[in-house]
Formats: sequence, structure tokens, C-alpha cells
Amino acid sequence: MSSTESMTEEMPNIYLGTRQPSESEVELAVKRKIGMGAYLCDQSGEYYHFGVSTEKHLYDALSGNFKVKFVPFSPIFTVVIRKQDDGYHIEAPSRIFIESRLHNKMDGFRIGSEGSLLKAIGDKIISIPQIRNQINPLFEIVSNVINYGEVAPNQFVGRGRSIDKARNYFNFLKDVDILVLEDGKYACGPVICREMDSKINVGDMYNSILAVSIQKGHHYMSEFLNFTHISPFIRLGNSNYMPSFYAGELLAMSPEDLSNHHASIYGKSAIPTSKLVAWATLMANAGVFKSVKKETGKPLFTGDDDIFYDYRCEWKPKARSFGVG
Amino acid sequence: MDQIAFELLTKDWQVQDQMDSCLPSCMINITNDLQTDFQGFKIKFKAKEMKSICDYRPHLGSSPDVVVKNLNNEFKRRGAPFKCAESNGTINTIDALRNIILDKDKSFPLISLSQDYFEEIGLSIEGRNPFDHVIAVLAIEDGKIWFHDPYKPFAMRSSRVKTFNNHLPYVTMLKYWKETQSPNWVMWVERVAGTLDRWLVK
Repeated sequence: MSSTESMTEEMPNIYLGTRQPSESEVELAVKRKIGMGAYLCDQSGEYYHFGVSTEKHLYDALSGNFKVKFVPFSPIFTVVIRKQDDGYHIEAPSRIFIESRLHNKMDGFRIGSEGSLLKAIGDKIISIPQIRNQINPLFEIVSNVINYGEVAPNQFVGRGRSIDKARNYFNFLKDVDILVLEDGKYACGPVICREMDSKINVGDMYNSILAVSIQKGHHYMSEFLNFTHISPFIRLGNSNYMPSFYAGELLAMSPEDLSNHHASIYGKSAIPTSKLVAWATLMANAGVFKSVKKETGKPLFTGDDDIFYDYRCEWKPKARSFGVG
Repeated sequence: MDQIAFELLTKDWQVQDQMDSCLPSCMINITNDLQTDFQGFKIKFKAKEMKSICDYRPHLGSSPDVVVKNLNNEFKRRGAPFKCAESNGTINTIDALRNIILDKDKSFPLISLSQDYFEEIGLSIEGRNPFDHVIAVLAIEDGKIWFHDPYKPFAMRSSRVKTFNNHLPYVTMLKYWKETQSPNWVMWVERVAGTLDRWLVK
């Protein structure tokens, strides 16, 4: 069922009486019909714009500090007040429609947060062995282009790699500006040229180039190139940094906390805690997380101060467009 | 009421599994509790059923307007001689609450509390909380109101919440009850007047 269909199916019409309602009466009537999480954020004429406030539980396992933060997402929906023969009515969209708008907004927020985080951790995440192995075909292509000046996809066929697969890698690297296609051959693109000029250390240069491929195209990599090992690490990183963004400070998390935040952001998953600890340890080895030991001996993971600073600077202005911040 | 009586009464009561699911959690507790008084009727609800009846949706919470209607439809469908009712405004006083509690034909009442209640129990709150919080009132005696708060497990995560009181002075509670978006709101379940089921041997 499309959102439009559901909107026309069950649009609530709320009768308010014969007297012109105040703002707070409109707000309360809408909350009672739509849900108590809704709140009035703006009004112009007969149009009342509502947001939805979401409750976040933010616990720092190191200090024991716990706070409940209400994070508003707005605008989500609009209601219209109409005067009819019998009095004033509110025309509101259906709850299904509102729920879907809220989820879209929250999905957009999550994806935006991942993007900002990737800008801050891209160079580091590359050193995680699973990710490094998975993007090895891209490294192979990039290193050959840098060494030979230009290459063609058929040079990368064999050992289980078809010409179609090789072309997919090349097309992807072209789309993210790492390569350019000139006269049927692939050469260094703007990203490689920029990094070659700015990096003195060769290892750093390759890391930065490959980091760009992840920053710009990790969704494509996971869906179309079948690089499935990258997303879990990005999601795990976001499960710590996004709640920390809400809290305004880095939160230390136990594996259970990480798992709970992961579930609340990405939905319930079947990742066993043991695997989560292993992944978080790899993230700590890569410098994305810091591993902290509590006196009880329980492992705790927290973010890195510099990464958090860069991530917040990048994400804060964008988060405002979601009504957050 | 004392702590032992409280624990005995609420030992099987549910707590919130979602941060904004206080209404369905409270509602399931008070309706399922009726079963101990009125045996024979299939009025025991599962958490998922009650969330659906309360039209609960994550982040939006429940829609109080539909709870009464949906729950009454469900009682009717199950052939259970009960109805759900709600009321708000100044007619709802501490005495009115006490009368609901003491009435054998009525469930424990639910009331909503303002955000200040969370500060009272020691939670640190940031941002605008659009929710009034729903709790079940169990007893009013000796200047105190005993209640069951399904939010307890969440609150206990805070190191600032050393102990969780199941009762507060009713002067304080009255303030939180009044300062909500629907002042002095009460919801309860009661036996439909005139039914003979009470005298039937099941």
C-alpha cells in the first residue's frame, strides 16, 4: 500500500466544537488521535505543522551517568483546521502515513550520520582486515593504474573473476572519481591525482584513495559489488557515535549497550554478542573505537575524541535539517 | 498497603519493553488483574494484543482516543462483561481515585503524570518530552499514593536513582497529575452495570 493510498484511506477528522480552538487545544486533540509523541512545531494560518519527539536512553557505562533525551524530528506532518457548518474540524493525515514519514526521516538521519562518520573514520576503517581483504580487487586496480598510468578491465580477468565483474569494479571506481575513462582505457581520476599530490607516505595515499571509495559508495559496494563486510562495521561505528551525538559527549558502552543501540537504530538483528565484541575489538585496533576496561573486568568501548570532533563538526549542521540539534 | 503487599500484588505485572509504551503496559496489568476477581472470562491479554488495541506505534506512542473504543470492542468480542472508561478534569479528585480503587467492580485506575515526575524519581531529562507518563494507582492511604510504574527498569539504569519508590506523598502526586496535558486524566475498566456474571458459578 502506498503512502498516498493509506492517507486517503483513514484520514482522521477531529471535531473541535463551535468555538475557535487555541493552539494548545489543537495540539492536544492531534496528540490524542495521532499519538502522544507528536508535538506542534509551527503554525501558519490554518496549517499546523507537527514533529515527533523520540525518546533516547543515553547511558555512559564508565561514569554510570544516565540521561533520557527527547530528540525531535520535524517537520513530519501537517494538519489543517477547517471551519464547517457545525464548527471547527481538524483534518489530519493517517497514522500509517505519519509513521511512514517519521521512519523515512529517521532513516535519512541514520544514513546522513553514517556518511558524516565515514568522512571521519574512512582512512582508519580501511585497515580492518575483513574490509581490506574485501576491497583488495579495488586496490589491485588502483595500484596498477598508478604504476602503469592506464589499464583496461580485461587485464583483471581470471582466477574466478569474469570480465563483467571486472567492468563493474572499473565503472564503480569511475563513478566515485577515482578513475577516468579516456579512449577506452582507465587512467587516474581526480581523487588519485589529489591524493598523489597531497600525501607523502605511499601507504597513506592508498588508504585515502580506497577510503573515498567507501565514503562515496559503501551502499553500492554492499548491494551491487557484494562487498558485504563493510556495512556491519559502519553500522557498529554508528551505534556508538550516533547516540554519543545525541548525548553531546562520547559514551562508553558495554557490548550489551552497543547491541541495544544497534537494534534501536537498525532493527533487531541476530548478531551474537561474541561477534559484536570481536568486531568492536577490530574497530579498536583500527583506532575507530577505544577499548576501556572497567574495574569489573567487563569490556567497554567508546569512540575516539578526534573522530568524534570531526564527525560532530561535519554532522551537526546537516542534522539541523532533520529538526535535530 | 506495605512493600510486601505491593510486591505480592504486582509480582506478575509487566514493565515497559519500549520507552513510550507505558499506556499498553499499564492497561494490560489492570485488565489482567481483573481476572483474579472475575474468574471464568477470557480477558487475559497478551502484550502484543494490548499494543494493537492501544494502537501503539514506536515513537508515536498510543492513541488514547482509540483505546476506549478498541478495548470495548474487544471485551464485546470475547463476551466479557466489562467496559473501559476515561475521564479528565477537576471532577477527578483523590477521593474519586480512592473510590475507583475500592469499588470491587472496577480495576485499578490509570493516571498520567507530568515530566516533573521523572525529575522527582531522579532521572536526568533533556529536551521537550511530549509524553505524559501513565502509571497504575494501587492504594491511597496515610497521605501516600502507592503505584506501579512500568518504567522502573529503565529508570533503574541511572546511577542517580538509588532506590525506586513505589509510593509518593499524595501532595506531590497531585501536582504531577494536575500539570499534565490532560489534567487529572483517569482511565479504568469496570463491570458493565446489571450483569449477572458475578453470581454465576463457573
